[in-house]
Amino acid sequence: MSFVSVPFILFLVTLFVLYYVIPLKWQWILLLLASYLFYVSGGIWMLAFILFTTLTVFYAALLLNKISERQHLELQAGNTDRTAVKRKYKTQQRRILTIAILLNFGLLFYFKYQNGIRTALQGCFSGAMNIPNLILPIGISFYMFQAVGYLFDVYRNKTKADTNIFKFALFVSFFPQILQGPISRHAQLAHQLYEGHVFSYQHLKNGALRIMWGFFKKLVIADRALIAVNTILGNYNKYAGFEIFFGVILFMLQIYTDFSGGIDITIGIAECLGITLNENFCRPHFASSVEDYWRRWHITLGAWMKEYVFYPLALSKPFHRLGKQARKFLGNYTGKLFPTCLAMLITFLCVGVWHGADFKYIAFGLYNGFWIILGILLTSKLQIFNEKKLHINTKTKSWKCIKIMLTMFIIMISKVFGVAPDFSASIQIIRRMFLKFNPWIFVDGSLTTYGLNTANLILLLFATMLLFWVSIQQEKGIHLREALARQNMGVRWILYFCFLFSILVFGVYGTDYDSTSFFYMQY
Amino acid sequence: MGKKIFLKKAIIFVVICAVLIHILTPIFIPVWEPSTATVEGFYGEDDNSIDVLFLGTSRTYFSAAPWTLWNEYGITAYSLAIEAQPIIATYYLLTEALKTQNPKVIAMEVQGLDRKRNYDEMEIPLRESFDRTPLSINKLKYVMQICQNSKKQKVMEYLFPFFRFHNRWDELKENDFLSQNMSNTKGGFISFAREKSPSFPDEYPKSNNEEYRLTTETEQWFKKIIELCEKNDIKILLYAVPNYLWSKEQTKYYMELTEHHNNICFLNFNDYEAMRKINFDINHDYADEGGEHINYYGANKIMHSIGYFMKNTLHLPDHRGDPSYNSWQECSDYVAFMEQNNKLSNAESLSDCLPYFTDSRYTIALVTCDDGTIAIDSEDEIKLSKIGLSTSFVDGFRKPFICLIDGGKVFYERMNYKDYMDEYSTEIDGRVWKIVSIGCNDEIPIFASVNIGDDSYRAIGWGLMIVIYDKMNEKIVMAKIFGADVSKVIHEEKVTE
Repeated sequence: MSFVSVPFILFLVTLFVLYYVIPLKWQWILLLLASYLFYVSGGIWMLAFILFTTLTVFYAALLLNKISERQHLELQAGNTDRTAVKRKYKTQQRRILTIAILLNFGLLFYFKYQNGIRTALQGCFSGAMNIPNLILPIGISFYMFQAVGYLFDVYRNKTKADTNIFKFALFVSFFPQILQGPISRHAQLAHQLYEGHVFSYQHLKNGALRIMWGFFKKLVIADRALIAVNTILGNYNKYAGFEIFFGVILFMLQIYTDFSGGIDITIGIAECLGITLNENFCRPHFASSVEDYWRRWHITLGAWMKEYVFYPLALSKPFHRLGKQARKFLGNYTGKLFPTCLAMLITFLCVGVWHGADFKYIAFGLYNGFWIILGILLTSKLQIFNEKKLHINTKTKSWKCIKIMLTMFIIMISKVFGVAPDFSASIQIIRRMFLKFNPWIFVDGSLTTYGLNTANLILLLFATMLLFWVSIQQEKGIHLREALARQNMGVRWILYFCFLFSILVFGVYGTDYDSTSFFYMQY
Repeated sequence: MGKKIFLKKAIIFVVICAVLIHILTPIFIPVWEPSTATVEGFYGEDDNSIDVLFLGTSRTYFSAAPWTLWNEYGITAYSLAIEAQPIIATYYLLTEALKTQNPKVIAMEVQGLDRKRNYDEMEIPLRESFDRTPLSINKLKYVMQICQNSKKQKVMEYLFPFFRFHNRWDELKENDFLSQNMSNTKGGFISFAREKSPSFPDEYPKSNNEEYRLTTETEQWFKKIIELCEKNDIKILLYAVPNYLWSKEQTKYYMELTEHHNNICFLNFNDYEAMRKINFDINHDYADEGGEHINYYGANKIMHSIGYFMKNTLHLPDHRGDPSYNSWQECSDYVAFMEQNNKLSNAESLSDCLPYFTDSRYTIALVTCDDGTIAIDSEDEIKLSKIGLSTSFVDGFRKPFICLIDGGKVFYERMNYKDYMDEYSTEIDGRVWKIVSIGCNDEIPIFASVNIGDDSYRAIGWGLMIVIYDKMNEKIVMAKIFGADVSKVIHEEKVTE
């Protein structure tokens, strides 16, 4: 069941009505049933995998908890060798954690890399082995990361293990976020899911507005831009220079509005249910460095990677020792930063691998990692150089704009890895960007030959300007929904209808289009 | 805010949305020619005023001529036939029609019935019949039937066509915002094209040596139509217009059908004798070269015979003279006017046009290009003077001349003896006419032009240019130059100065 479908809208309306009619203590049960119904609508076979993750992680967390309690009891009993006790139980816990992670990530790894695995195994067994080709279960990366994050938190005693498997099943499968995140932390989300929520007009209204904004981004901007993106980048051999630039810029717009639009719908649905989910975007196109960009783009994945990959690596003993060694060879400044940089590179490699099995994703991860490391190493030095030697006032808006544009250029190149079918195509697209200087395409009518006529291009421009204006207001800290709420009812309702009907009329949906899928659902 | 107030607000919100969608829907549904006017026109008919209802495919709508049935027999007929109409649509349209009408006969041309229909590939024909009909149980049943048998068609988009056609926002024109015209022809389609059918075989109809059958789906729905008609005491008149591919087996099949059902009659025009009786001309009575559809002239001949049968065998009443059926007389007058327009469009000289200059439904421009006198003989001049033209063409050699006749009367005329060029512009019924005439001249290219609104007609060569504008249908009927053979008129739309 896609977010962009009539059955889903009916499903939501029914759920909202039931949710606020039944007693509060039953709300979580309704959400669990709704989540599984939603998930099963995509194919009943996928149920096996989400159940597998739910069961393995739930029982692993219970075991971790029990071991912690046993350790606690033993320490309370007055065992003198506290270190030995801790080490003993930690080893047990680590073993369980490792098994649970291997089981789950092994499954994820198989799904993402099954083509390579199949080729390798068939090569080993001379083609005699028949390995089934399985379709990636929807949302597997998202719910698995959320579940494994929970397991880590239990392991680190940051959260208590759930004792009710049905409640935990809801935490893993909560339907609005299962398709494309955001990836939530147990401590932040679980209690909200399990407790009852009284009816709140404010929540419903704000949630509905957020959902509408998500649909606007997805249907009016993303799917419209996609038409030109497919024309240009789907046939990149026919285009060069600014044509490719135009295609890649539109792809940046498309992927942002597609992904963040989907997240807006997700957060809006949760808001209607009285549940607050983490934000996944913070106006990434205003980022002034690649590092800043990753703090604003896919925030929950970045936070997950930071919490469960980067910190464990950077703060580990081997990396600490590596830092000491590095200082001898690279000097004090660079040597001190070396373990951080290495951990960052590995983290971004993981980000790349999370996206997919192709080498283009590894290149994507390494490319982003490279720029972040460069930032870590050079930012402070460049700042001094710019201010002292070049006498640039780095506090001006114009300087910030230049930094934003430079960042966007670097990010634009990285997006090519996402849109190209493979690594060599990515290189071809980047090469073709600089093959020809043809700025006249912006004025000679060529823009209307990429699948969008003049009216659609103008509409896309207006919609993007609206998005930009909203982003600027948000960047300034203005809450538009609250500002809207302060208006008279007549004005408010006129704006609501204008907004709703602009989606219904200008949205790219229906028989002639395929707007049912979101870009990030493939991950 | 409590749940009750929220519920009230939600209901008001949904109702406003529904109203807005209801208002927007007819704007966004495409205007299909001629089915939109056919369907909308049907809903404009007085209740229980139609005695004969034509249903079926384009073969029916090309052959149905309600004006002939009215003119010759006073029979009130309406054609709800639509291009490639699937029989499922025929059935549900009939069911829908019976809500307001009580026809005594339904008539169907049978040669479109045996087509195999794939619902996946015929969205427009499926929609043409029902997109503009109001929501009803009938429509719901129709939509469910279609969507169950097609992967591509979606229930929501059929019940609420706005969601199917919202993407037409960038192609909307003034016409989409106007309420659609009712059919002026009672659903009948007029084609003045005169084509020759592929040759008929000597032995006609010939035998295909295999049993003729309708498709299972057609038989199933045809059976339902028969039952519905039996229940409502309606006769079914099946007829077959001349077609070179018609076979003996087809005749046999439909004859057997009439034997099994008392309420079915079959009129077959597929043999040389039947064609001779109605004076059907296989060389001129078709609208296309494939011989599939008959033209206006062929339809009139067929209807003459069918009307006779309806009148004398089925005893349909003659409503002529009853003022409550005036709209059929208006239809008949309209079709006669269309035929007149067609004659005008084929005019080959000024004298062919002159009889119509007094018709109040036209605005006519006469403009000379270089020399107009070569197209006007003394007889024409006398006729023109009878209309009210005072200009003498005796001294008009290579003189610019402009004349406008509106509503049968001379509105403006001037022969400019002093200058080689003359211009005139005026506004008639909100439409701006700009006319230029150039006579003898060596300095600038010689031409004559008539601009009406956004349309420009520019004559080159030499002779008399005539532009005839049909005020009733708001369109140009004829724009020609009569004179030297090399002369011609060039038409351009949307002139920007």
